[in-house]
Amino acid sequence: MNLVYLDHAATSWPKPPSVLRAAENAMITAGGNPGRGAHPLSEAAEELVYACREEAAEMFCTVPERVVFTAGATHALNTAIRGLVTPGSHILCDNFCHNAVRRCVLALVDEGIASADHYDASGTEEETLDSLEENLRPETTLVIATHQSNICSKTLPVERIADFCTCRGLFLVIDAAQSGGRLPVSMKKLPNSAVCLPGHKGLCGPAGVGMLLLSKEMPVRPLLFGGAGIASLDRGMPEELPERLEAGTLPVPAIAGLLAGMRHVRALGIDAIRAWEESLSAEFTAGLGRIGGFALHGETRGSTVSFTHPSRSPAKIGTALAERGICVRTGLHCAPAAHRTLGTESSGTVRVSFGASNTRSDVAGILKALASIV
Amino acid sequence: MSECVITMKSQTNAEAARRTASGMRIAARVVSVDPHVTKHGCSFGLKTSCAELDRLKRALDQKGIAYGEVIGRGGFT
Repeated sequence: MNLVYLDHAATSWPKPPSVLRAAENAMITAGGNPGRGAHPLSEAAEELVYACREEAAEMFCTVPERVVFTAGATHALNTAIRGLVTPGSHILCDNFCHNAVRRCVLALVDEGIASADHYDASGTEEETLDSLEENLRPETTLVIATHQSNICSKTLPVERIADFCTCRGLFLVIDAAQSGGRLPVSMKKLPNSAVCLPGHKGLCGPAGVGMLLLSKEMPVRPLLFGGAGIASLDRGMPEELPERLEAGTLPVPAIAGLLAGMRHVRALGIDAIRAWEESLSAEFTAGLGRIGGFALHGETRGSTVSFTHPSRSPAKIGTALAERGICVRTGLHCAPAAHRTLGTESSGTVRVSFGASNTRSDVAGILKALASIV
Repeated sequence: MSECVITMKSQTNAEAARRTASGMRIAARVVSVDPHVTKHGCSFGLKTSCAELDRLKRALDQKGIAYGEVIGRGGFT
């Protein structure tokens, strides 16, 4: 069965051949533990890790030392949120957040460490900023913003939110799980910010690695404690970034793949990727309109489209598509707050998310299948 | 020609310093520094010709790459 893969919001697939080669090659030529010695294999691993930091620094307009490798976006978000919150803090989180944010914040609330509220990001940029202002409390220290929703293409004005936070002395944590590799992200325009990215989505790398990009003002405390390769006699983690936040051995093969993935994305061009994905989603939504009966939910101008149909539940549509080799995601997409915002919390939606590797024939394929299912 | 080691704050700094040296055509390599050299235990350094030290330190200062004290032969493995 030929697969039509339309689940890029979950993870990108297929990976570029350069990513596969890089990950394999790293295990052969850079098999040492980076930063844990000065022998040739350890040096080769450290050089590779640094090259990936450097690539990310160029892509996101920062410096290599402020690129922290994590196990993924969830790990980066937990590190940033837990590492910035102090007892008594009040957190403001948008209403499109993923459970990677929501559960982390709720755990802090349940532990009695922080209080939290949502701000409404479903309207215009001005309305989003107004909602932030309205929900501010004297004890608010942290704002969290979903750069782009994982169930539709709703995009938050993170640079304006960063300015808002800077003026008020607040920290900003940005969930860039969907936007990394699709939308421009410049740390130069995001003061007081921590940006959390997965390696395996828009950056086309393997699963198992993500990044936490920190502006210079961010005093993030470690989430994990352990070996760092330096300052072994100290009780705590070293002060230096990125080592302070990178306890344990880094996943060098995944980092090598991420390096190749970022080079692939930069060679294609983020603007070109976004334009292509938007053209595919526009063609898809137009096709849904021709079939008729579908309800679209949230912003559709982007790579991700959520829809329902009155004749079949999202799960049944997803199952029928899977039986035809078409890969989509149904349900609540680990983002119940976002579904509540869009009024789809009870049923969830079918989510189609395009990637750079998709073609117009993929769009034709899913439209033909949907016409026969509903 | 005598060789010196500039102690570095971290392995990431050491690699950044090595690349800086390489860009200036200064031969340098990252080495482990014995735990007793700093108060903190294990660390890394950049081993290079003592004659190139001032030039390299100026470049590191310009790039904002933090480094520690300079040690001579011994003290590193």
